[in-house]
Amino acid sequence: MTLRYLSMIIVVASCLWTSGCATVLTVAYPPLEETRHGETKPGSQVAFHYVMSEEKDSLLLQKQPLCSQQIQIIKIKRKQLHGVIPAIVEVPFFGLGIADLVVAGVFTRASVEESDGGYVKGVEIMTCGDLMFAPNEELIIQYPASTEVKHMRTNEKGMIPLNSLENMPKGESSINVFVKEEKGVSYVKTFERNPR
Amino acid sequence: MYVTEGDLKVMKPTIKPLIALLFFVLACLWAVPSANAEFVLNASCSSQIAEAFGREALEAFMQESGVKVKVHIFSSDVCIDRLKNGFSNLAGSTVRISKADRDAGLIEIPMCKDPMAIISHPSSKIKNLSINQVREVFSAHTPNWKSLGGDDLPIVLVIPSKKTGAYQNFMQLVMGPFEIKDDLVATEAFTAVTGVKHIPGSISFIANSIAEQHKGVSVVNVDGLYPKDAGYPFHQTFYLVIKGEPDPMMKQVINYMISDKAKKRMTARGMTPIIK
Repeated sequence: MTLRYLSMIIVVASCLWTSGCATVLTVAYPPLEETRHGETKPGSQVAFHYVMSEEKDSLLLQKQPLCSQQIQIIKIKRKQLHGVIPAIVEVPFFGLGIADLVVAGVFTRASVEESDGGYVKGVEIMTCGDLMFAPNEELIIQYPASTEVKHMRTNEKGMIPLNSLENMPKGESSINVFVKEEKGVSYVKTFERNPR
Repeated sequence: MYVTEGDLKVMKPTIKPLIALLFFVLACLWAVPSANAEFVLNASCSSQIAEAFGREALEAFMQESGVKVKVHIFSSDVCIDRLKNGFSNLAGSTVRISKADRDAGLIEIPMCKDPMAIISHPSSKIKNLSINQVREVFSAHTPNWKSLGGDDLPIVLVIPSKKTGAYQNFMQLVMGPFEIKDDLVATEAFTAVTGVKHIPGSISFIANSIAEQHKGVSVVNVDGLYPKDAGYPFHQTFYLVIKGEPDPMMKQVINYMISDKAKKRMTARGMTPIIK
């Protein structure tokens, strides 16, 4: 009988003495640093996005500024959960492992610290303004069938009259429109026309 | 599955189908592509264009633009079909798209021109042919080099497959009403060069930018003109073909192809950019 009570005491004492592994290890380990992305905002302007549409008897060219992306970096310091396997081993002993894991989890959640890491340049480009008329822009009109190329300029309202495009080379049914920018030539749109 | 327990029939839960269902669900979840998968541009390119521009042009584009590109090489017709059917995002073609293709929403953008060169085995003594002679040779009306002032050797016609842009362009630009005959057919346009290099008496045609890369073939003048000379009569056009209104990524590709860097690369390889 005494031996039986002694065994029970040893078992209970062992359980109580070894429980709390997850909590102790979680608190003892230093916090882990990581980063995540926060808000994004437009940076400096890098280009224009051109849009062309047919308006009555003209083609209208509009442009919208494009900017580089600035991404906010948020630094996070948090404790990581440790000692999970010893806690799982303790579960059969009056469920002490579960309590241990819960307490350790509370410590990890309570240890989160966030700080601002400033802004970095993102890889994407985003619009950073409204669509507006594109006056006095140099356009390159390409006829795919004959590969002929024509240069034109939009007027003060960003338009070119359709009748200036009517003298298409024979057999042409479409025109490719490009705009000449400072950094080079950019494709705008392809229009299908009625072939002559 | 039912089992009998005393007088009652009880439904026995079957474990095996449940395990099978669990594996199936796990397999489906495993197979679902990650939402964060990197975008890859699938390009179907004519073998002439791929060979004319070379691997380094592709690598330069990927490095400068940050866009990953997978190039699949086929004949021009197949490249256009692949684009139409959604197997690729863009196509490089040496032939024009048809009206049906345009109605299906395809857009062709001519990029550059490249002379169509007549190439022969390096041992050939014939360095110049008139346009009529070219037609007679390729329609097999002139079967021996002796009739042209060369050695007594049969002319071996190594012809790119009828499905290639090279064949179609040669028919349209050079042959007129004459039919092209063949002794050997090259499945891809640029492999005709390999045939001409190794077969005495052989003759073929290919984009000049490809001919110039292969030192083991002889380029034949036409009416006294070398392919790079002004007034040379035969030129192919290389087209970039897209489907529908291009998204920002596709516009980036188009703009790169008409950029000063790309035009410089074209000129260095003997091609003439169309938008200067």
